[in-house]
Amino acid sequence: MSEAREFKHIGQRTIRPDGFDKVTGKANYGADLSLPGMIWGAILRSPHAHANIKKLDVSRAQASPDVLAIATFEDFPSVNAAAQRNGSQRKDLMDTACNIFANQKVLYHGHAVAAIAARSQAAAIAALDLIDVDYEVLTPVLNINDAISADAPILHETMMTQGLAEPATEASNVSARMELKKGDIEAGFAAADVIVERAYDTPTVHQGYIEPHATTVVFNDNGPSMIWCPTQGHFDVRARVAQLMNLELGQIKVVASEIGGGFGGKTTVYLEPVALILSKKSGRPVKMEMSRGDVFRASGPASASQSRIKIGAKMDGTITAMQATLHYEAGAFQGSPMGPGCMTVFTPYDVENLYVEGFDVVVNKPKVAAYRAPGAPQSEFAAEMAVNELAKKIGMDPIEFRLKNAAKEGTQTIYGPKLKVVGLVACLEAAKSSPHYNAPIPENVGRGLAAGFWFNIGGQSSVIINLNPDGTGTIIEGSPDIGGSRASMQMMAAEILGVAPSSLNPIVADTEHVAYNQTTGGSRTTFATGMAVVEAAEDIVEQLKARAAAMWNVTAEQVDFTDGVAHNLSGEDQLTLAEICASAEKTGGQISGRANINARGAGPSFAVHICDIKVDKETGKTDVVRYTAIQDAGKAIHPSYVEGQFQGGAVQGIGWALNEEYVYSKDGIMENAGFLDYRIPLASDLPEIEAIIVEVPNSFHPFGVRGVGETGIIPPLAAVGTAVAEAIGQPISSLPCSPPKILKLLMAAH
Amino acid sequence: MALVCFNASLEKHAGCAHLTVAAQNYRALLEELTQRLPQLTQEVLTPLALVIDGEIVQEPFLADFSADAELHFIEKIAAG
Repeated sequence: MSEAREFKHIGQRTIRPDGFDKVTGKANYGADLSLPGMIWGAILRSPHAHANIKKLDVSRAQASPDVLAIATFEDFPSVNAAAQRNGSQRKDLMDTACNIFANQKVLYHGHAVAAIAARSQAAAIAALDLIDVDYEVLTPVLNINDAISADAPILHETMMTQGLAEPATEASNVSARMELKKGDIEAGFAAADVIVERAYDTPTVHQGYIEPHATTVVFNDNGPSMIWCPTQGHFDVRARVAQLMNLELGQIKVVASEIGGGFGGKTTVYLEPVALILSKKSGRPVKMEMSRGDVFRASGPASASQSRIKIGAKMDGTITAMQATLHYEAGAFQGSPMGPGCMTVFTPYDVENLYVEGFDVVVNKPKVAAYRAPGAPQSEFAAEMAVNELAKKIGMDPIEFRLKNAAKEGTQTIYGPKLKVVGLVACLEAAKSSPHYNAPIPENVGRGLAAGFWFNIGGQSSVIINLNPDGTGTIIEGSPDIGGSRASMQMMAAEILGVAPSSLNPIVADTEHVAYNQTTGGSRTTFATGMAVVEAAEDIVEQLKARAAAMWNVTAEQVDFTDGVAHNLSGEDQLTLAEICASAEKTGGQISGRANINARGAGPSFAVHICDIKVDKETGKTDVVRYTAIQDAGKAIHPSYVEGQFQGGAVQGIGWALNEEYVYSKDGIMENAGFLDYRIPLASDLPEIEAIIVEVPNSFHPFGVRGVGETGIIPPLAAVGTAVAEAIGQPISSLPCSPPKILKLLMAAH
Repeated sequence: MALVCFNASLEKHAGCAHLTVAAQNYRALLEELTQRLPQLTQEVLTPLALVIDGEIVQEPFLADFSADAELHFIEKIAAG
């Protein structure tokens, strides 16, 4: 799509099809399914951050009449076999299994050790006391500095650093090193008039989805077992559980319930395999829920990070060199988003000389999971803070400084390829002319601005559209709806078919009723599943033309289909879509369209955010007084949901920057595992987030769509950090900018 | 001839920053690269996405490209 088009439904603000059920409480979430004969599972979790399991004795629990089943790591049949084999996939599977149940060693506070099923939730929790565990407590490794020190306790005795110049010969807590470069970094710094070099760090944070993990599972020996759960990817839940339990995919059906937030955190499995083991052993349906404390302690937060950034520029504002060293905590098992962090850190800039080195580091914290644009907020926070400091040193406006160096079509990225048409310059221009940026900065307020980049992805999506005899229809898709995507699918199908969006009912089918779909994430759903919807709808249009041709006894080439009406090009005849469907019995049976695609051509998205913050210098309390989020959506299918994504990303980023952090004792015990002590922003904390949609179409999508769910969380960290720095007159290098940290900075300055 | 560019991590296996290839599809590219650069094995390359003239192709098995294409291998992008 390269030229402006007029749309009938795309770009409208329709009523979301799932809205009524959600606001009236009728929608069924993860914990809402109960079945006849159902029992409850509960998990015994480690009280230690790092310990060897010397003895795990379940005999007292087994003897209890209340206990109907017990599960431990030993119940994973295929993993024990897999452990005998080599290969990265097996290693990955083994890590997943060892995260679900500790295998001889606990690696974080809250690590699951065993599970019990009993007739009630209370009985299951009470019976956990009957499991006897002897721990040999080890020194925990709680941060990057400790993990990489020479005398650090080693979490995994077989883990060798990958990616070193010479193969590693000793076990290490650093699982991988990555290096990216472009140009001549030394020459770049030699050409600079001004250089800024600073270290930054970000804390472990949680996605903060409101709905805790939950599942209800029925094991079935004679047919597919059923798993009901809130997930961003029910096909991947099926695959993961099948691997762990040594089952065929067809032996498991996963139903994605409504989901109360995911943001990347619901892209793996925790409870589902455990519940299946308990169901198999007990012969009963099993329900399990995480408490909020469990969610914090034992699901997947986002990586803490340490970054060292060095940037050089000429006095005219030309950046000559950018260098980064990035460390990411992976949690207890390898696999942080260090790679995308390295790839995104400097992508908003068209600079000749770049060098980035990244490290993936294991620590005694829960294994990290994705969180909106995984890896990018941490690295781009550091880069954007340094860019703002450099612009200030040179005396340039931060937007002008970015415009002078902005990535655009043809910019060669550090990860290799040249960018195609992208919207960073358009976002910067929109920021420059925004009411917010042109408003004077109020007294005692600091203003910050930052940019952000995320790739976006495509991938596999499958869609079926069935039309009914009255012309209404059903869109059957397999992408769990975490951000209003069902409405977008309705609108895209309606645009092609020329009918009202409300006449098409979008449903997210279980794994038996639609072909494979990749997980909802990476900002792929409106792009990729949307492409599948368009293709399925176009399939239907061809059939409608053939059916109309049959009615008129002409060829399909003699039929045009526009705005829901078939026109006989050889005469005056017209048939609406509903009329063609009504006569489908006569022309070959009912009509349905189908598409199974692996979408290519995802368009990257850039964003620019502006933040005004007031700081109480006596208490260190911060108040966001104005905030604007500007982002390139390519084409906003449903502007309200696009704005919602911008606003949601901004709010989560503000929380990351201002208050959110995992707090651990020196023994590795998480001390703030609840929303009273882990402070996410509330609606009452924030002003209206002003959202400005920029539309630079992605030529690969029929309507020009770029994903919008990821990028919005990237700029807030540095926009907020810079605003706080401006408000207190002190540089910020460590998040969150919580009141104690701000007070410390102010006291140190005086 | 298509131009294949290696990032710093892959350069260690390839022994060069870039080279030209006669291949015009992914399968031929793998065959040509692994023959010409023995340390650049299938195990190193197949987990990666292929970027063809700036377009990231996460699953490139059936991908074709032109004789003057610019190609890069990158880590597959994860979901959030």
